[in-house]
Amino acid sequence: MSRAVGWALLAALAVGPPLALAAGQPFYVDILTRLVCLAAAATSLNLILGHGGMISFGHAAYIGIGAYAVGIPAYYEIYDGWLHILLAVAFSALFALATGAIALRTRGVYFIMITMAFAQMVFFAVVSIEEYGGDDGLVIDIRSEFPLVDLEDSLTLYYACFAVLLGTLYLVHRLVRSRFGMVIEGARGNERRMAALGFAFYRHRLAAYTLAGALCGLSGAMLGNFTNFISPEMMDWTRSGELIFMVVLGGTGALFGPLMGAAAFLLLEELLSGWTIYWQLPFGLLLILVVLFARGGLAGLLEGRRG
Amino acid sequence: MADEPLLRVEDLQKSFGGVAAVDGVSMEVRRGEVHAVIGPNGAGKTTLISLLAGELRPDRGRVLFDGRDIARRPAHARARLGFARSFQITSVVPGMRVVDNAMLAVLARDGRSFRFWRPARNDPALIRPAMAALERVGLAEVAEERAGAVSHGEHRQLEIAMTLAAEPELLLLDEPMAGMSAEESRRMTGILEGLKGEKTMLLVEHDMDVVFALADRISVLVGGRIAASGAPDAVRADEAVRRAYLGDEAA
Ligand SMILES: Nc1ncnc2c1ncn2[C@@H]1O[C@H](COP(=O)(O)OP(=O)(O)OP(=O)(O)O)[C@@H](O)[C@H]1O
Ligand SMILES: [Mg+2]
Repeated sequence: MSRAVGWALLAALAVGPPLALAAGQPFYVDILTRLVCLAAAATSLNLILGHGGMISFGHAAYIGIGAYAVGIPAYYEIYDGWLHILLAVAFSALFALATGAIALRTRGVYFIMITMAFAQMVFFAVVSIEEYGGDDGLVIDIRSEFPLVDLEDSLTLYYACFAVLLGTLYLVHRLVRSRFGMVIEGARGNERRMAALGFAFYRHRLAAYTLAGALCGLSGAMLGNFTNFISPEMMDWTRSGELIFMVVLGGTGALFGPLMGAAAFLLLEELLSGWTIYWQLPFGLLLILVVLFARGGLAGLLEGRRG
Repeated sequence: MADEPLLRVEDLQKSFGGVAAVDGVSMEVRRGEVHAVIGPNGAGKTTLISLLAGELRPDRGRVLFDGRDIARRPAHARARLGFARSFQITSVVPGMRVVDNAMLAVLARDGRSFRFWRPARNDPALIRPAMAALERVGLAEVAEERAGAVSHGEHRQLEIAMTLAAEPELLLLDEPMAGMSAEESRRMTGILEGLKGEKTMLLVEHDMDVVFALADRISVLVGGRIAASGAPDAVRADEAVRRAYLGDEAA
């Protein structure tokens, strides 16, 4: 059931934007572009959070790294898209590898805190660099340039972001079903048994953590292209919290969970922020309800699973 | 070296907050034998197994496997040397299927776990040995169930199936029959009997019928120390053992 809804959602995303344009509502293309970028980021987080049990509270750092991997070269008038993507993925992977190597030696609340601390380090580092706008951020005057693909066209940009979402979904789908995926899932379920069986699963976790970071960096590069403006705010810890929210709301461990969660998140944000400026409050309450009464999230509810 | 024991333990010591749970244990497990360790509750049997499996680090002493000191190697490294332990309190991955649990044991043995692309769950190299282990303990029927959802007895059987599926050289079994029905226990005794001679086993067990049916040698652990060690008949006859442990049953 949740699979069916996930596919339906993807189908809607595949045909929605041209229809919106045809209906004279370009505004919806923007909303959907943001949705697919955030869904891709949340899907990458689900690899480590949902499948690996690694509750990273610093995942937005990779969105920021990916976005600045577009913005900083663009600042120097380097617009080569492949280079941007290479930088986004490489720096994200490196950052994940270096910080994961330390963070993965801790457990539970310590892991949450340390991943958040590492992300805040990037945040403050970027804030302190006046050259790239510091607090105020950086305007990207020209988007990443690819042969044959013009990201300045909003529909083209949308489909590029959509392709990143599809690629991320497929990659995570393959990974979690592989031998490697079995190991990180087993280690989430019972570390002691996995060690007794002979798994040195620290390495598997670090690899998963690095992959998730790299994938998120890619979605960050797309998001940076979309917003045309990047700032440290993209990697604020509250952004990391929002990604967790999407994963938990959608359903940890379900392939389409983060996509549903991201869609629900943007919808709620839209509705609640129109209703009250304190919209984060009902948001928080909702998350508590999900955690208490529907631990499988939306995907779990669709499967008829609870608690 | 044929007469070098597979496992030799020398003066092993482990204390928890000043209380010695294992207090200078020396013993040998010979290749191919079933070596039973018996002793009253709290004697240190589980602690001894954890020290051998590498889950705990000893305060002192040596653990020689095939002549190599491995007392400081972590659990996963020992598992790859051919150790497999079963837990007294069932320890499986509850969120995965029964067959997945057994497949993990096979995968651990196989070692090629950095494979990112091909689906593991229909890989015959994993499924066949996993199903064989499940069939051996009589769990094939519930293979598709979530491991957290099967009965207590089935949990215990899965515990053993995982230990077998790893195809170890040395089995460290911590009360494998604990919590099994009489029939399941008989079946398990049969399975272990079938492995006799093929695998080396260190068996912690409270059920004396099982111990005397399987063991080639018995060591009696009392208060963290080996009180007696030898052939089953000799141990049964040992005065100190009768007093300390077999007491009420044998008197
Ligand atoms: N992690 C621990 N921390 C503190 N004390 C411990 C720990 N593990 C074991 N002990 C203590 O060490 C002693 C030996 O415990 P152990 O579990 O090894 O006994 P056992 O022979 O396996 O007992 P049983 O037959 O009940 O399983 C006990 O007094 C126990 O309370
Ligand atoms: Mg015990």
